[in-house]
Parts: sequence; structure tokens; C-alpha cells
Amino acid sequence: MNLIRAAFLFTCYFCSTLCLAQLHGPGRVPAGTGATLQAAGSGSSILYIYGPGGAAKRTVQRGAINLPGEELQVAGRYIAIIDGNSVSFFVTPASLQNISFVARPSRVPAAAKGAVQGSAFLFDAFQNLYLPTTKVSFRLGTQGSAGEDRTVSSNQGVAWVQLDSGRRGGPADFAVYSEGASVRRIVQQVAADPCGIHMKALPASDGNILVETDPILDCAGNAVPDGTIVTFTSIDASGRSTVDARIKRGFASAELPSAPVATLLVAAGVVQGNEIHWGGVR
Amino acid sequence: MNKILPAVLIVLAAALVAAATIRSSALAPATTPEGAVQSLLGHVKNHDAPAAYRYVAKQSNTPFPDFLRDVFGQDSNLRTYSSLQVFNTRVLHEDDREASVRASLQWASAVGAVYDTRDMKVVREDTGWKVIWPVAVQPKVPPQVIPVNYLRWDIVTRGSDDDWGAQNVDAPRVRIISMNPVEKDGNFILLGEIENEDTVPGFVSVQATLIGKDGESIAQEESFDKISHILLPKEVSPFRIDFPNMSRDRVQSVHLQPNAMLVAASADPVIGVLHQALQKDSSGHAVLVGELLNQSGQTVNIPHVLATFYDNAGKVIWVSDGYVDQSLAPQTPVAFSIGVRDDLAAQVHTYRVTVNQYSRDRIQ
Amino acid sequence: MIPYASRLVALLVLLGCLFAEPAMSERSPQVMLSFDATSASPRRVEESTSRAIQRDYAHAWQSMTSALAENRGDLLNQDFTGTARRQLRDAVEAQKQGGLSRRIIDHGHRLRVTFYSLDGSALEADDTVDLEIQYLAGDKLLSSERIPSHYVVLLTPSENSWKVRVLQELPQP
Repeated sequence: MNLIRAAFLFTCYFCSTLCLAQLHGPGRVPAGTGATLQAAGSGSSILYIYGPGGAAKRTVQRGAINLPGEELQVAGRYIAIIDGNSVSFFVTPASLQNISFVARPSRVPAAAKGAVQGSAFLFDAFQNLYLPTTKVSFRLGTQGSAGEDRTVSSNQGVAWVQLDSGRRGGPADFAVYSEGASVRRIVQQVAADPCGIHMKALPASDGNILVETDPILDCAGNAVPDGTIVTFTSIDASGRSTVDARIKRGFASAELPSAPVATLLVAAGVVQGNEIHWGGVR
Repeated sequence: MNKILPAVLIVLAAALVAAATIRSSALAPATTPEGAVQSLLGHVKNHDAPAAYRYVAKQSNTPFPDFLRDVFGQDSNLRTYSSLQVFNTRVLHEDDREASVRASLQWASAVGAVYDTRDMKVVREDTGWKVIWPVAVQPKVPPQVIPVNYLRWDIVTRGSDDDWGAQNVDAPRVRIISMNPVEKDGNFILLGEIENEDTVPGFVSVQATLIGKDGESIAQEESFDKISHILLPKEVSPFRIDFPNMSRDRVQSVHLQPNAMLVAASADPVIGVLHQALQKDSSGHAVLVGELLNQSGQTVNIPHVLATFYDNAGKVIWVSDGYVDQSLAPQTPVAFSIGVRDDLAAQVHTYRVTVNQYSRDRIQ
Repeated sequence: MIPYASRLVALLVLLGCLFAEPAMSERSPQVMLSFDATSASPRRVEESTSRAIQRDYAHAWQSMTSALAENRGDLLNQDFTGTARRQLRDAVEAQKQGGLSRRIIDHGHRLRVTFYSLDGSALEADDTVDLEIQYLAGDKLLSSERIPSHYVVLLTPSENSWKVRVLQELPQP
């Protein structure tokens, strides 16, 4: 009798551990939140769990098996295996927490059409791409100007925008907002090409020709930055003389060699300025 | 053993006497004008300045320190990093009292071979033929304070860690504004100009890939030193890329890749290029001559002149360059001369000269 | 003497070749990949970029397959960056500690570009992939499954290739 009882108990135990062992998972769980697996039967077994950012092996008691949130931070498919039984479940992204904002370019000519571009990549706190469609707002503005706002819907965790640069030079705030997360970038709006360079020529104290431009501005009225090259050229009987002067405090100047008659030219990059006939008849 | 040592000493003494004799014969007075030039240049080649100076005519009025400076350099100029490798001489004119000898010199320098042709006047003195070696008097810059308040651009970039999407500063925008492929002596050459369109300085280079008839890349070269690498905002540089032994027939198309990097730079120094003119040199070859004037307060050690030549349609037809072996002292004009292709000289309608500079003590 | 030495060297070289670790391309079979960039916006994917993406993304799967099978995190460096590299390296480290591994048999991908940024600095795509995955503890096969999977992928360019920055599997719709 004892033998039969023992055989029955062993069969029950065997079946509970092997034959009837079943595993249930949570289906879907947000990243960073704990989950519970249900393993039928009792006693201890080895749990294997494989996920996109980890893997683990540990001894667990059957029944409700708790998986801590720290093990479930990476979004994707997980598989839990106990005694040959397996269950898959998905960790989905948590709430929107971070935005990677790629703003281009870092410098942009003023008043340029569609020159400012921004791409926002939405992430949760664990750097999982936040995939639900959500409203994303972009704003580009300089101090003292109304700026430009644009709101778009994200698609698979990405939102993008293309905006015109402002007419005024200087640092512009380029910001993106969504569900409480925000990121700000600085886009330096710089003067575009010089617009109508004008120079004048005077005799220098040492007999040379002193050439000097008016303040050099772009077509929107922004001062072309200091350090920009302005080439002065003098063509006279002895040949051609050039000085690559730099704009300093808004204008450029240089001394060209003395000559009774000379043609004076000025240019910055591919933009030509006025021409002066020095000592000759215009 | 006692007898061997004195014998060795005697032999050694004899050898030394012989060596001294040979040396004195090497410094023997030159009996011909060409011999004088050859002796002088031979000693320059051997870095023996005192010996070379013995062949300099008194009427040169060139003190030894000036001769030394002229031949072996100063202020870390290019001549300081050069040595005379090869020279050839040819008598142009000779009579009893004086002669004219043309010397073609090849210097090995830090920037490659430098060629020079010098017509030297040789005169007969009591101690043989001597070379007139005039040295341009270096004007002394009067003590003064030259205020330099040009811009410097410094850069703060983000760290090297992977902070993707974080704020950063872009490389400068550069643009190739012209390009002209030419073939010369079996070489395929790309000429053109590149402009820094941005408001920040850039380190630029141009890489060219030649695509063959089958669509495959057949050669790749870079502009190397035929370009101004540091371009300030709106600065334009010529570039020239040489493909040796490459026929134009083999080339289907050309891919030009301008590269630009944001670099810290200074807007100083300004170097004026004065009195530029196309001339013929003593050999009858076309050259572009002029003067460089360093308008800053620091010496520019090695100036590098780049010239762009245009035809009457404004197309770049040649780019040539040359290193000036003198340094540029502040406010002191220094002459330069760079070669122009003789076959193109007649087509040159206009030209533009830019100057690269390498300065030892300057922080870029 | 010399011929004998030469033969010995040749034999050693031959043995070295036989026992040397094969290159990754030999370890992991070629990845089959169909590529569709017609839905890409706001920028059209250039022909050269298309070729580069297909080459680099296929190579990334080969690297990942090898890294997870052999528990070698270094194999990920060439093709992964940022979050994807960190997560996969963590997975490899954890497998190594537990004596675990997983073997992926890749039956092919359908990659469809959904986003290509205006400045060309990021490209996002959907990947529908047919995978067979074997989970192992030591040499013991714990479980095996063949499943159609759906990934969202974010790639960014590096010096000379595109690297996977995000590789995130999505639940079946």
C-alpha cells in the first residue's frame, strides 16, 4: 500500500514538474515595469530568460515568478524558458522622456528659404524609440522677433521640419517640444553674401593709395562678419597689386602702392564691388 | 713594437700634411671665370661658407655675414632648410677682365626641389677670377609697435563620446567655383578654384577621382600644396591636381570632392602682393614677378605664392606656385618670381596671386 | 636542408589556415535582403546610399548573429553604434556570465525605408524578417522557434559606412 502511495505521489510530482508544467507571460509590459510569469506546478526550476538587451539564468520557485523592472528596460521581444516550456512577451516603450534633436545647420545665412532643418527622434527614459504617434512642436525664433512655429505628428518615433531662416543675424533658438520633453539648439544666423560693396580711395600720408569700403552688409542689412576677406586690386603701369584685406569692425581697408593713374577694384568672394579710376578720367 | 708607433705617427703626419696640401689646392685661385663660379658653388654645396666666400669679389661689397645669410638662410626661411644639390654653369660672355656666367641651381628643400637660374658677373682680381655676389641690403625695420587686432577663431566642439544629435558646429561650407581639365606633356591636370562661402575659417582640400570609360575609378589624387589650405571667410584659392602619365582619352568623367574642416585660425597676417607683372626672365621664359609685403608685425618664415591665370573668357587656364626662399620681415617688400607656361603666356588675359604663409612662432 | 625547411613552413602555414578562425562572412551565411526606398521621405534615397544601406545592414545582422552565438561583443563595433551597440553588448555579456547563447538562422529581410532626413544624417526603416532562433545553455538546446518578426531600425552614417543605432522589435500588430 505504501508502495502504491509512493508511486502515486511520485507520478503526481513528476507530472507537476514535467508533464503539466506550463508557462504564462504578461503579453505586453511597458519598459522598466516589473512583470509576473505564471509557471504551473510547484517546486524549484531553472528559469532562462532572453531579451534584446540581456539574458539570465536563475533558480525560481514555480508559481508566480516576478521579473523586476530593471530586467525589462529594453523594448522588444523576450522569451522565458522553464523546463522546455517557453513563453514570449513584449516590452513596449515607456512614456516619452527624451528627444534627440538633430538641428542643421549650426550656421545659416539669414533670410534663406527652407535652410533650417530639424529632425526629432523620440525616446523613453531607457532610450527605446517612442513609437506612438504624437504631436511634436518646433519653434525657431531670434530675440525680439516672433519666430516661426510648426507642429507635426511623429511617425514611428520621428518628426521633422524645414523652416526659413530669419532675416536678422544672430543666434536663433531652435527648440522642439513634445509631451513635456523639450530640447533647445542654437542656430547661428549669419549674414549672407555681401550686397553692393562700395569703396572709396584717398591719398595716404606716405603717398600710397588708401582704399576703404563702406560698412559691408548683406542684402537683408546684416553686417558681414569681421574676418571676411575683401580683395582690393590696383592695376597701374607697373602691373597689378592685390591686398586680401579682412573686414574689421564692419569695413575693410588697405593701402595700395602709389601710382599716378590706376584702376582700383574691390571684391569679396565672387561678389564684385565698385571700380575707381584713380588719377584718370572717369 | 717600440719602432711601430713612431712609424705610424710619421705616416699619420704625412697624411695630414697631404690633406692640408690638397685643401689648399682646392682653394687655389680660379684661373677661369667658370672655374670661379664652380669653386664658389662647390663650397656652397659642401656647406663650407668661408671657403665659398674666398671666391666672392671685393667689389661685391658683400660682408661675410650677409653672404652667409644669403646662401644659407636666416629667420627659419626656406633657404635654412635647403641645400644645394646640383649646379651647372655656362659662360655667356668672357673677356680679359670680366665675364658673365649663368648657373642653373637645384636646391633640395623642405618643400621639394627648388630650381634657380642666376647670371653671375665674374671679374679678374689680383688673386684670380672672383664672382660678384651682390646681396640685397635688408632694410632694417625701425623699432615700433604694430598693433595687431585681427580676429582669431577658436572652436569648442562637443566631446568624443556618443552624444548623437547633440549640438555641434558644422564644417565650413565650401564650393568649387570653377574647374578646367587640361592635358600637358602626357599628364592630366585639373585646374580650378574653391571658395569658402561660410563665415568661419576652414582647412580645405580637393580630392579628384578619374572615372574611366568602363565607369570604374582609374586614379585618385589630391591638391596637395597646389592650394591654400586655410581659407578665411569668402577667400578663394586656386587648386591644381596633377595626374602624371594619364591621357585625357582614358578619362570619361571626373569626380571632384571638396573637403573642409573647421579649424582655429587667425586673420593675421595680411600679405600684400604688389607690382605684379608678366615678364620674360633672363632665359626668355615667361614669369610672373612682383613683391610681397608683410603688413603684420611678425616675420613670415616661408611664403608660398600661388598664381591663377585666366583667359579672356575668365576661365582658369593654369595654376602655378613657387616658394620664396627669403622670409618676410614686417613691412619689408620681397621680390618673387614664378614660372608661367610659355605656350600659354599669350593667352593669359588676367591673373590673381594669393600667398600662403608658414610662420614658426605663430599659433594658427 | 632548405627544401625541408620550406616544406615545414608550408605545412605550418597550411595547418594555420586550417585551424584559423574563419572570417565572419564565412561564419555567418549571406543575409537575404529585399530593399524598398520608395516610401522614403522627406529626402529621396540616392542610389549609392541604397547600395550602402543594403550592404551595411546585411553585414550588421551577420555581426549580430555571430556576436550572440559566440558571445563576442567586439564583433558589434563595426556595424552598431549608440543604444543598439550598448544593448547588444549587454546581452552578450549577460549570456557569457550565464553560459548562454542564441543561434539565429536568418531566412531573409524585407527592408522598407520610411524616413531619410534632409541632411542625410539619419535613416529609419521597417524590417520584416523571418528568423529561426535557437536558445542554448552551453551546448544544450533549451528552445527553438521560427517567427516572423518586425523591427524598426535607425541607421546613421559614420566615416565610411552606415551603422545601426536603434534596432527595436515591435509586437505583432
